[in-house]
Amino acid sequence: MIDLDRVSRSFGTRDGTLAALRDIDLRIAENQFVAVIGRSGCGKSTLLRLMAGLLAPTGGTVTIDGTPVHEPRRDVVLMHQLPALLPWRTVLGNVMLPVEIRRLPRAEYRARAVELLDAVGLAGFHQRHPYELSGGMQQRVALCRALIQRPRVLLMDEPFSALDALTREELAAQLQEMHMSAPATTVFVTHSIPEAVLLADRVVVLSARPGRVRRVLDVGIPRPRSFGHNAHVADVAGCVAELHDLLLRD
Amino acid sequence: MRAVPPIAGAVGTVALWWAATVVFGIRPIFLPAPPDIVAAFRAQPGYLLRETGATLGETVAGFGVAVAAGLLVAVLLTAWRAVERAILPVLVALNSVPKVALAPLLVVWLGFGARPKIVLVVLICVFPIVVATMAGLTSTPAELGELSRSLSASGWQTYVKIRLPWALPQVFTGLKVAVSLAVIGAVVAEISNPSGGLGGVIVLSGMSLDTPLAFAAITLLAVLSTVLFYLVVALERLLVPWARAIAG
Repeated sequence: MIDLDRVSRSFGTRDGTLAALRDIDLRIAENQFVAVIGRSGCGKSTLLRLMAGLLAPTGGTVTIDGTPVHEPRRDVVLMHQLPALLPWRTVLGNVMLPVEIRRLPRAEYRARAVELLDAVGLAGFHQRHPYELSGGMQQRVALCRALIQRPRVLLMDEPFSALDALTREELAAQLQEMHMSAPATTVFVTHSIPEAVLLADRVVVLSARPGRVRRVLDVGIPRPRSFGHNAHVADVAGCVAELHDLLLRD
Repeated sequence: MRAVPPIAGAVGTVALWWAATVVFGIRPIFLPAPPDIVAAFRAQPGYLLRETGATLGETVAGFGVAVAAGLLVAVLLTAWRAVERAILPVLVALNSVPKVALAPLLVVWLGFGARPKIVLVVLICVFPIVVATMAGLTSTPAELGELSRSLSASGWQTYVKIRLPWALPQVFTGLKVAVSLAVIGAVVAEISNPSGGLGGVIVLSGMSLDTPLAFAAITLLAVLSTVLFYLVVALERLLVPWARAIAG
């Protein structure tokens, strides 16, 4: 579904060019959940922006469904580390923003927005404003806004990293549930190894700058996964340890 | 209970002033006590209110024109980068001219009556509106810009749905500065051309050494200015209730 063929990206800075990514080869199948981990500054966010069509590669090609990506696509959605909500709109109004901008039928999508908000536990908050919500709730609203247009590809840039540990686990569990009930091809950039193991079918480990694919690890643990109380605790721990090793040796 | 400290502060200040005139035996021609000012107002309330109305009319007319022109200029300047770069230096240079110094010239150019006064009000309060609006329109956070790009929003949609509302709190900062300047502009114009308004009252009472009357006019100006300021604040709370929440 998503194909990266020898993709490189460098940036011009005052001290010459800085290579952020070099020769990335990656094939992501339809409805697969891929986590990308690596150290700070290894080009993880750049990788997502290339797939989102917000940045053009300086080398190689990015294709989705066989079409090269030159601009943002309607079926691809990027979710940020910050919720990036509009403070003057209500929760429901924020979720409906993509519908308005893309001029989709409002009545139909309004029902979907309500459904999504209820599913993430924001049933009583449709008419509230973002500043009345906690950080975790704001990020849930951003997740609903990302899902409202039924994207086929969901790109997530450290979406939970600004949240406290407990909220983070809750949201990861919620995302896992949503992916199981309505899967979409997902690329999830994170710093957190346990988060990657909990969520992903495959974990891509990037090397330090310039980012290259160091290793792709298949996570074969059956879903639903969890950190504490299921039969596969040992498998999760083993996977986490392996990734730890890979990252620390870098 | 929240109203107690500001009321106590105001009453205390007036009481201190009154006490000073009594204790030091200051003559009303230098510093009138509060009762002298009240007496000056009650001697000719119709005249003073009529002149207040004249000043209010000039202030509101000039402020209204400045708001319309200021918003329009800021929107045009931020729409095209080249236009901004061409016109901004001219605006900065114009802004550094002390507009008050133009008051006598405006009389030469536009004659007596209300027109030169309204023009001075516009000149003095249009710049803060332009500068604040431009600052607001160019301060859209990067993540919101990326959001609208990733949704393939048109330039117009981005402007109307994101940039303009985001700029509103800063627009109001400019409006609050401008509304106080508008009253100052009207009074300066009236003082240089004392044919009417509270500025005219102050000039005429100075000639006849009627200090209590001048103070009555100044008090009315202060009331006028305060009321206009809080009207803008009320409008701000009505239109951008979220601004205080995200600023805090």
